[in-house]
Amino acid sequence: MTAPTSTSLVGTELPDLHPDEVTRATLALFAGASGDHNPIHIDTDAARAAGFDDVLAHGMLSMAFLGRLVTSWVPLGAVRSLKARFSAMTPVHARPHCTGRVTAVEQGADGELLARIALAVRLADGTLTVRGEAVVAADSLPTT
Amino acid sequence: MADTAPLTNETGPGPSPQLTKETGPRPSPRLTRDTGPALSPGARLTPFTVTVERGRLRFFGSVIGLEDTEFTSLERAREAGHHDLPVPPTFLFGLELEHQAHAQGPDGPPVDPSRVLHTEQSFNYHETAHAGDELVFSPVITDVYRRRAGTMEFVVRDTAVTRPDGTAVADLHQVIMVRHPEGER
Repeated sequence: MTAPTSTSLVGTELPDLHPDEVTRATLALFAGASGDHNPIHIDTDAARAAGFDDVLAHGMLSMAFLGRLVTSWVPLGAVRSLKARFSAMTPVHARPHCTGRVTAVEQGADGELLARIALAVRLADGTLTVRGEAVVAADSLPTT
Repeated sequence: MADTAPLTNETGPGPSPQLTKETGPRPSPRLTRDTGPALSPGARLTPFTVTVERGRLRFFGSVIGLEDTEFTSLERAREAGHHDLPVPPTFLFGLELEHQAHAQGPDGPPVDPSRVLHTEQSFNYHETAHAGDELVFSPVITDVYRRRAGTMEFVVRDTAVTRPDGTAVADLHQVIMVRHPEGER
Protein backbone atom coordinates (compact mmCIF):
# COMPACT_ATOMS: atom_id res chain seq x y z
CA MET A 1 0.00 0.00 0.00
CA THR A 2 2.42 2.60 -1.21
CA ALA A 3 1.26 6.11 -1.89
CA PRO A 4 1.39 5.96 -5.71
CA THR A 5 -0.79 2.84 -5.78
CA SER A 6 -3.28 4.42 -3.38
CA THR A 7 -3.59 7.67 -5.29
CA SER A 8 -4.10 5.80 -8.52
CA LEU A 9 -7.18 4.22 -6.95
CA VAL A 10 -9.00 7.55 -6.89
CA GLY A 11 -11.53 7.61 -9.70
CA THR A 12 -11.84 3.84 -9.81
CA GLU A 13 -15.41 2.83 -10.53
CA LEU A 14 -17.01 -0.17 -8.89
CA PRO A 15 -18.80 -2.57 -11.24
CA ASP A 16 -22.40 -1.28 -11.47
CA LEU A 17 -25.14 -3.25 -9.80
CA HIS A 18 -28.50 -3.66 -11.53
CA PRO A 19 -30.82 -5.48 -9.13
CA ASP A 20 -34.02 -7.02 -10.45
CA GLU A 21 -37.19 -4.97 -10.79
CA VAL A 22 -38.69 -4.05 -7.41
CA THR A 23 -41.98 -5.94 -7.46
CA ARG A 24 -44.73 -6.09 -4.84
CA ALA A 25 -43.38 -9.51 -3.97
CA THR A 26 -39.92 -8.02 -3.41
CA LEU A 27 -41.39 -5.48 -1.01
CA ALA A 28 -43.43 -8.07 0.88
CA LEU A 29 -40.43 -10.35 1.23
CA PHE A 30 -38.10 -7.51 2.18
CA ALA A 31 -40.57 -6.37 4.85
CA GLY A 32 -40.48 -9.82 6.40
CA ALA A 33 -36.76 -10.34 5.98
CA SER A 34 -35.68 -6.92 7.19
CA GLY A 35 -38.24 -6.39 9.95
CA ASP A 36 -39.59 -3.15 8.46
CA HIS A 37 -43.33 -3.76 8.41
CA ASN A 38 -44.41 -0.21 7.64
CA PRO A 39 -47.66 -0.70 5.66
CA ILE A 40 -46.80 2.00 3.10
CA HIS A 41 -44.39 -0.53 1.59
CA ILE A 42 -46.70 -3.52 1.42
CA ASP A 43 -50.33 -2.42 1.54
CA THR A 44 -51.66 -0.32 -1.33
CA ASP A 45 -54.66 0.81 0.72
CA ALA A 46 -52.38 2.08 3.49
CA ALA A 47 -50.10 3.76 0.97
CA ARG A 48 -53.07 5.59 -0.62
CA ALA A 49 -54.46 6.58 2.76
CA ALA A 50 -51.06 8.10 3.52
CA GLY A 51 -51.25 10.17 0.32
CA PHE A 52 -49.16 8.08 -2.07
CA ASP A 53 -50.30 6.65 -5.40
CA ASP A 54 -49.10 3.16 -4.59
CA VAL A 55 -46.72 1.27 -2.34
CA LEU A 56 -43.14 2.57 -2.17
CA ALA A 57 -39.94 0.64 -1.79
CA HIS A 58 -38.17 0.69 1.56
CA GLY A 59 -35.25 3.11 1.57
CA MET A 60 -33.35 0.33 3.29
CA LEU A 61 -33.87 -1.94 0.28
CA SER A 62 -31.85 0.52 -1.80
CA MET A 63 -29.29 0.79 0.98
CA ALA A 64 -29.09 -3.02 1.15
CA PHE A 65 -28.25 -2.95 -2.57
CA LEU A 66 -25.47 -0.44 -1.83
CA GLY A 67 -24.15 -2.79 0.85
CA ARG A 68 -24.23 -5.57 -1.73
CA LEU A 69 -22.38 -3.38 -4.25
CA VAL A 70 -19.63 -2.60 -1.75
CA THR A 71 -19.21 -6.15 -0.39
CA SER A 72 -19.07 -7.55 -3.90
CA TRP A 73 -15.96 -5.42 -4.35
CA VAL A 74 -14.19 -5.59 -0.98
CA PRO A 75 -14.47 -8.18 1.80
CA LEU A 76 -17.13 -7.47 4.43
CA GLY A 77 -14.50 -7.12 7.15
CA ALA A 78 -12.87 -4.25 5.26
CA VAL A 79 -15.99 -2.06 5.37
CA ARG A 80 -15.58 0.63 8.03
CA SER A 81 -18.76 2.61 7.45
CA LEU A 82 -21.76 2.94 5.17
CA LYS A 83 -24.00 5.99 4.97
CA ALA A 84 -27.09 6.84 2.95
CA ARG A 85 -29.29 9.85 2.47
CA PHE A 86 -32.68 9.10 0.94
CA SER A 87 -33.67 11.87 -1.45
CA ALA A 88 -36.52 10.51 -3.56
CA MET A 89 -39.09 7.73 -3.39
CA THR A 90 -38.58 4.45 -5.18
CA PRO A 91 -41.94 3.39 -6.63
CA VAL A 92 -42.95 -0.23 -7.03
CA HIS A 93 -41.75 -1.63 -10.41
CA ALA A 94 -38.64 0.57 -10.30
CA ARG A 95 -35.34 -0.78 -11.56
CA PRO A 96 -32.70 0.73 -9.33
CA HIS A 97 -29.20 1.15 -10.64
CA CYS A 98 -26.34 1.33 -8.12
CA THR A 99 -22.96 2.90 -8.77
CA GLY A 100 -19.83 3.60 -6.78
CA ARG A 101 -16.62 5.46 -7.36
CA VAL A 102 -13.52 5.94 -5.22
CA THR A 103 -13.22 9.64 -4.40
CA ALA A 104 -10.31 9.72 -1.94
CA VAL A 105 -7.67 7.61 -0.28
CA GLU A 106 -6.56 9.00 3.04
CA GLN A 107 -5.21 8.10 6.42
CA GLY A 108 -7.83 7.40 9.08
CA ALA A 109 -7.62 8.57 12.70
CA ASP A 110 -5.83 5.39 13.78
CA GLY A 111 -3.37 5.51 10.87
CA GLU A 112 -5.20 3.03 8.68
CA LEU A 113 -5.28 3.87 4.97
CA LEU A 114 -8.91 4.28 3.98
CA ALA A 115 -10.70 4.62 0.66
CA ARG A 116 -13.82 6.74 0.42
CA ILE A 117 -16.40 5.54 -2.10
CA ALA A 118 -19.21 7.79 -3.31
CA LEU A 119 -22.35 5.72 -3.87
CA ALA A 120 -25.58 6.45 -5.70
CA VAL A 121 -28.84 4.73 -6.53
CA ARG A 122 -30.79 6.01 -9.51
CA LEU A 123 -34.02 5.02 -11.20
CA ALA A 124 -34.25 4.28 -14.92
CA ASP A 125 -35.31 7.89 -15.62
CA GLY A 126 -32.19 9.17 -13.86
CA THR A 127 -33.86 10.22 -10.59
CA LEU A 128 -31.35 10.06 -7.75
CA THR A 129 -33.02 8.16 -4.90
CA VAL A 130 -30.07 7.57 -2.59
CA ARG A 131 -26.73 9.23 -2.23
CA GLY A 132 -24.32 7.33 -0.05
CA GLU A 133 -20.77 6.83 1.00
CA ALA A 134 -18.72 3.87 2.09
CA VAL A 135 -15.34 3.95 3.79
CA VAL A 136 -13.28 0.80 3.35
CA ALA A 137 -9.76 -0.33 4.22
CA ALA A 138 -7.69 0.72 1.21
CA ASP A 139 -5.41 -2.32 1.35
CA SER A 140 -8.41 -4.53 0.61
CA LEU A 141 -9.20 -2.89 -2.73
CA PRO A 142 -8.81 -4.98 -5.85
CA THR A 143 -5.59 -3.80 -7.47
CA THR A 144 -6.34 -4.79 -11.05
CA MET B 1 -55.36 7.66 7.96
CA ALA B 2 -54.04 4.21 7.41
CA ASP B 3 -55.54 1.22 9.13
CA THR B 4 -52.54 0.42 11.16
CA ALA B 5 -54.36 -0.44 14.33
CA PRO B 6 -51.91 -2.96 15.75
CA LEU B 7 -49.10 -0.46 15.57
CA THR B 8 -50.87 2.68 16.70
CA ASN B 9 -51.66 4.25 20.03
CA GLU B 10 -53.92 6.96 18.75
CA THR B 11 -57.14 5.64 20.19
CA GLY B 12 -56.79 8.00 23.12
CA PRO B 13 -59.62 10.26 24.30
CA GLY B 14 -60.92 12.87 21.92
CA PRO B 15 -61.75 12.90 18.23
CA SER B 16 -59.44 11.42 15.64
CA PRO B 17 -56.95 14.02 14.50
CA GLN B 18 -58.18 14.03 10.91
CA LEU B 19 -61.66 15.09 12.00
CA THR B 20 -60.59 18.16 13.89
CA LYS B 21 -60.24 21.46 12.10
CA GLU B 22 -60.04 23.98 14.91
CA THR B 23 -57.67 26.82 14.47
CA GLY B 24 -55.79 28.39 17.29
CA PRO B 25 -53.95 26.70 20.10
CA ARG B 26 -55.12 23.34 21.29
CA PRO B 27 -53.38 20.38 22.78
CA SER B 28 -51.20 18.56 20.29
CA PRO B 29 -53.29 15.68 18.93
CA ARG B 30 -50.70 13.17 20.05
CA LEU B 31 -49.91 11.96 16.58
CA THR B 32 -46.56 10.76 17.73
CA ARG B 33 -45.18 9.60 21.01
CA ASP B 34 -42.64 12.40 20.79
CA THR B 35 -45.01 14.71 22.62
CA GLY B 36 -43.91 13.10 25.89
CA PRO B 37 -40.66 13.87 27.66
CA ALA B 38 -39.25 10.45 26.79
CA LEU B 39 -38.38 11.52 23.26
CA SER B 40 -36.60 14.69 24.16
CA PRO B 41 -33.02 14.86 22.93
CA GLY B 42 -30.71 12.81 25.09
CA ALA B 43 -33.40 10.32 26.07
CA ARG B 44 -31.92 6.87 26.50
CA LEU B 45 -34.34 4.15 25.48
CA THR B 46 -34.36 0.72 27.07
CA PRO B 47 -31.49 -1.46 25.81
CA PHE B 48 -32.49 -4.81 24.35
CA THR B 49 -30.75 -8.00 23.25
CA VAL B 50 -31.34 -9.87 20.00
CA THR B 51 -29.85 -13.18 18.87
CA VAL B 52 -28.98 -13.15 15.17
CA GLU B 53 -30.68 -16.08 13.46
CA ARG B 54 -29.04 -17.94 10.60
CA GLY B 55 -32.33 -18.55 8.78
CA ARG B 56 -33.18 -14.89 8.97
CA LEU B 57 -29.83 -13.90 7.49
CA ARG B 58 -30.36 -16.37 4.66
CA PHE B 59 -33.84 -14.94 4.01
CA PHE B 60 -32.56 -11.36 4.03
CA GLY B 61 -29.65 -12.24 1.76
CA SER B 62 -31.79 -14.06 -0.76
CA VAL B 63 -34.30 -11.18 -1.01
CA ILE B 64 -31.55 -8.68 -1.86
CA GLY B 65 -29.92 -10.95 -4.43
CA LEU B 66 -27.12 -12.55 -2.43
CA GLU B 67 -27.92 -16.19 -3.16
CA ASP B 68 -24.91 -18.48 -3.13
CA THR B 69 -22.64 -16.01 -1.38
CA GLU B 70 -21.07 -15.93 2.08
CA PHE B 71 -24.28 -14.21 3.30
CA THR B 72 -26.57 -17.13 2.45
CA SER B 73 -24.35 -20.23 2.09
CA LEU B 74 -22.53 -21.69 5.06
CA GLU B 75 -20.01 -23.28 2.72
CA ARG B 76 -19.22 -19.95 1.07
CA ALA B 77 -19.08 -18.25 4.45
CA ARG B 78 -16.48 -20.73 5.67
CA GLU B 79 -14.48 -20.34 2.46
CA ALA B 80 -14.41 -16.62 3.20
CA GLY B 81 -13.09 -17.27 6.71
CA HIS B 82 -16.33 -16.90 8.69
CA HIS B 83 -17.41 -19.48 11.27
CA ASP B 84 -21.07 -18.88 10.38
CA LEU B 85 -23.11 -16.62 8.08
CA PRO B 86 -21.96 -13.01 8.57
CA VAL B 87 -24.38 -10.15 9.13
CA PRO B 88 -24.59 -8.04 5.93
CA PRO B 89 -23.92 -4.29 6.19
CA THR B 90 -27.47 -3.00 6.66
CA PHE B 91 -29.14 -5.92 8.44
CA LEU B 92 -28.90 -4.57 12.00
CA PHE B 93 -31.25 -1.71 11.18
CA GLY B 94 -34.19 -4.08 10.77
CA LEU B 95 -33.52 -5.87 14.04
CA GLU B 96 -33.85 -2.56 15.82
CA LEU B 97 -36.96 -1.51 13.94
CA GLU B 98 -38.61 -4.85 14.55
CA HIS B 99 -37.95 -4.65 18.26
CA GLN B 100 -39.33 -1.13 18.29
CA ALA B 101 -42.53 -2.23 16.53
CA HIS B 102 -43.34 -4.59 19.38
CA ALA B 103 -42.27 -2.34 22.24
CA GLN B 104 -44.52 -0.05 24.25
CA GLY B 105 -44.38 3.62 25.20
CA PRO B 106 -41.30 5.63 24.33
CA ASP B 107 -39.48 2.48 23.19
CA GLY B 108 -42.30 1.72 20.78
CA PRO B 109 -43.08 2.89 17.25
CA PRO B 110 -44.36 6.31 16.25
CA VAL B 111 -48.12 6.38 16.54
CA ASP B 112 -48.76 6.21 12.82
CA PRO B 113 -45.93 4.51 10.88
CA SER B 114 -47.50 5.50 7.56
CA ARG B 115 -46.46 9.09 8.32
CA VAL B 116 -42.84 8.14 8.80
CA LEU B 117 -40.19 8.53 6.12
CA HIS B 118 -36.64 7.38 6.57
CA THR B 119 -34.37 10.21 5.47
CA GLU B 120 -30.90 9.16 6.55
CA GLN B 121 -29.08 6.09 7.82
CA SER B 122 -25.49 5.26 8.60
CA PHE B 123 -23.49 2.44 10.10
CA ASN B 124 -20.00 2.46 11.58
CA TYR B 125 -18.57 -1.02 11.89
CA HIS B 126 -16.18 -2.24 14.56
CA GLU B 127 -16.45 -6.00 14.29
CA THR B 128 -18.28 -8.46 12.04
CA ALA B 129 -21.27 -10.14 13.67
CA HIS B 130 -22.40 -13.63 12.73
CA ALA B 131 -25.41 -15.91 13.01
CA GLY B 132 -25.78 -17.07 16.61
CA ASP B 133 -24.33 -13.88 18.09
CA GLU B 134 -26.16 -12.10 20.88
CA LEU B 135 -26.21 -8.37 20.27
CA VAL B 136 -27.18 -5.63 22.69
CA PHE B 137 -28.82 -2.51 21.19
CA SER B 138 -28.67 0.72 23.22
CA PRO B 139 -30.65 3.47 21.48
CA VAL B 140 -30.45 7.16 22.36
CA ILE B 141 -32.65 9.89 20.89
CA THR B 142 -30.01 12.46 20.03
CA ASP B 143 -32.19 15.14 18.47
CA VAL B 144 -35.82 16.03 17.75
CA TYR B 145 -36.69 19.09 15.70
CA ARG B 146 -39.37 20.48 13.42
CA ARG B 147 -39.15 22.18 10.04
CA ARG B 148 -41.52 23.82 7.56
CA ALA B 149 -43.95 25.34 10.03
CA GLY B 150 -44.04 22.18 12.07
CA THR B 151 -45.21 19.95 9.23
CA MET B 152 -42.00 17.92 9.28
CA GLU B 153 -40.68 16.49 12.51
CA PHE B 154 -37.23 14.94 12.47
CA VAL B 155 -36.15 12.37 15.04
CA VAL B 156 -32.47 11.42 15.23
CA ARG B 157 -31.61 8.16 16.90
CA ASP B 158 -28.15 6.74 17.60
CA THR B 159 -27.83 3.14 18.62
CA ALA B 160 -24.70 1.43 19.88
CA VAL B 161 -24.66 -2.30 19.13
CA THR B 162 -22.32 -4.33 21.31
CA ARG B 163 -21.73 -7.86 22.45
CA PRO B 164 -22.99 -8.70 25.95
CA ASP B 165 -19.46 -8.08 27.30
CA GLY B 166 -19.52 -4.55 25.88
CA THR B 167 -17.30 -5.14 22.82
CA ALA B 168 -18.39 -2.68 20.10
CA VAL B 169 -19.92 -4.24 16.97
CA ALA B 170 -21.51 -1.29 15.17
CA ASP B 171 -22.99 2.16 15.67
CA LEU B 172 -26.22 2.98 13.89
CA HIS B 173 -27.37 6.53 13.13
CA GLN B 174 -30.91 7.05 11.90
CA VAL B 175 -32.95 10.10 10.93
CA ILE B 176 -36.65 9.74 10.35
CA MET B 177 -39.14 12.38 9.33
CA VAL B 178 -42.69 12.26 10.62
CA ARG B 179 -45.14 14.13 8.40
CA HIS B 180 -47.64 16.37 10.17
CA PRO B 181 -49.69 17.87 7.33
CA GLU B 182 -51.68 20.02 9.76
CA GLY B 183 -48.49 21.56 11.10
CA GLU B 184 -49.48 21.47 14.72
CA ARG B 185 -47.26 23.10 17.29
